[in-house]
Amino acid sequence: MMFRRDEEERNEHIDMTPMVDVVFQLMTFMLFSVQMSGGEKVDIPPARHGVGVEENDATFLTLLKPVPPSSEARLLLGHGEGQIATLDQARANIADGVKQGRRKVILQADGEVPHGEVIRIAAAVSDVEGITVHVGVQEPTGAR
Amino acid sequence: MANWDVFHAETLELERGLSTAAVRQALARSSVSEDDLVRPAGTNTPWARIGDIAELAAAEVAPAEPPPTAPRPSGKPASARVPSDFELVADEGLTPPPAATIRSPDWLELRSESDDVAFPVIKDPITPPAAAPKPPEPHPSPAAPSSKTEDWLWAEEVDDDDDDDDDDEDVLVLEEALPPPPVERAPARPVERAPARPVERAPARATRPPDLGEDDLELTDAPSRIALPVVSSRDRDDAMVSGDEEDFTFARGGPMTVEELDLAPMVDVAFQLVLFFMVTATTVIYKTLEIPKPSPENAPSAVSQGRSKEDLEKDYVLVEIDPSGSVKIDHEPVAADLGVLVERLRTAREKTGRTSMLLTADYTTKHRNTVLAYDAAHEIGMGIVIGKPTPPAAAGPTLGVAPSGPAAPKAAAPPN
Repeated sequence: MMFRRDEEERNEHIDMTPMVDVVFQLMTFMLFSVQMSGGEKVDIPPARHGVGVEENDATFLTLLKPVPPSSEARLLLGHGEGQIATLDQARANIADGVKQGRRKVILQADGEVPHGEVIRIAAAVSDVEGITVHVGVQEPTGAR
Repeated sequence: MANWDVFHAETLELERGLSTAAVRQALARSSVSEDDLVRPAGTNTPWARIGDIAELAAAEVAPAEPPPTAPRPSGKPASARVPSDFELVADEGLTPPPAATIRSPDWLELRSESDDVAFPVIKDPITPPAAAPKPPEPHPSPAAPSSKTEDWLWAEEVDDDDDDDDDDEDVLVLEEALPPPPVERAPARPVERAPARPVERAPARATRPPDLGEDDLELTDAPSRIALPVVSSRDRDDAMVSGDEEDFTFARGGPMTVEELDLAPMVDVAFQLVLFFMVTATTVIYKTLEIPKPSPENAPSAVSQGRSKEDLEKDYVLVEIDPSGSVKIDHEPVAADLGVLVERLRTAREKTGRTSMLLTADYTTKHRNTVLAYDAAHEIGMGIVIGKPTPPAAAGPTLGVAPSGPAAPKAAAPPN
């Protein structure tokens, strides 16, 4: 007849459930609120290969497709938003970026933009010394 | 009438001094269950289940009988141990009891009885003080053997000084009030109707009650947890009551303290997650394809002007894309599929050793078609040279339409 309680009975564990709840809620919130990769603002063409460029290292230019197909593509300063700019404004913007150490120019060109327009813009911004030109691509959906 | 101490196992309450009839009535009312514990009132005998005690559980009542000792788990008859008990006392040099006060020294006969009693009981019942919280020390110190009396008292004071200070007072009072009984340690102490007054007060107690075997409860060797809510009974045996008796209880020690959840790990994890997401959210990686930097718009294309198409075809794999997006590699139509393009480019490179691709696309072809060609070239590590297209206002694509014309495509950049 042992009245002694078992020692194991006294080990009280922390209830992990609330912590796990909070952690999962945080993760869910972050997953929905953070866009981990850019490119969704413009329908840039897909490509399997590519190099990653950090956002802080690059100056963005956006080339939206012409709304009437005959008109010219619209050049925006920045990524996906901003005012329509001329080539001179784009060059000035890139030159400012180079002073701040942004030596890459990412041209986020819509897939529908004529190839000639892309090359024209790229050639125009190439006046700025010390930059490299990139065209933005996105991961192919349903990639092989 | 024997009295009992009843310990209610469920409510953890102790009732003292219940008569046998009361216990049985309580048993009948189910206010006491057979699993509750009982022991002879005021004794320090081990607790026993009520159901194990025939006197309480069975119908028969033996009022004149003293309560039996707790049933031994070992099943040994307690009477078998009586001699050793008394012999132990006798070894201590007690004066033999006067014959007149002893009913019958023939305790052996007593042993032969079926319901033997382990506790020699004083013949004269001692009525304990009613208000005394603790039963008085029952063992009436013999006044006649004076030297022994002092010894016993001394031993008792030493023994009982742990928790009950008033115990000694009771003893002293009793010693004055009571007529000196005969030496109660007589071996043949007749067991009588006295209400459960076992005498275990040997001057020199054995460290273990002689009637407790190895397979009884752990009483002395290990810290005893069996002593239950006990007041020091009249025959309190220090050998059985070890030092940690006081801190043992069946109760849960007061109200359970609600332990709060330690929030520190949760906060740690939450902050690490927040930091992780903050760091990763600020450095978004954009996937890009690096293209050769085209020469400025109005730059003289001195490099390429003097080169004919045939010269270029010797150095570059010629890739043409027309406005509809169809692709030709070295003037051969190729399906606009990445895998096919890669295969054709690889074949062309291996055949001719040309390591770069000259992309001449129509001005109006879509950007995604040229990106497809870029991607194919990256797939196999070919260099890329982009021929500068002429705007649609001009005479059309530079190369495709007029292959022999002077307007060779400008080599936009050296191959990668």
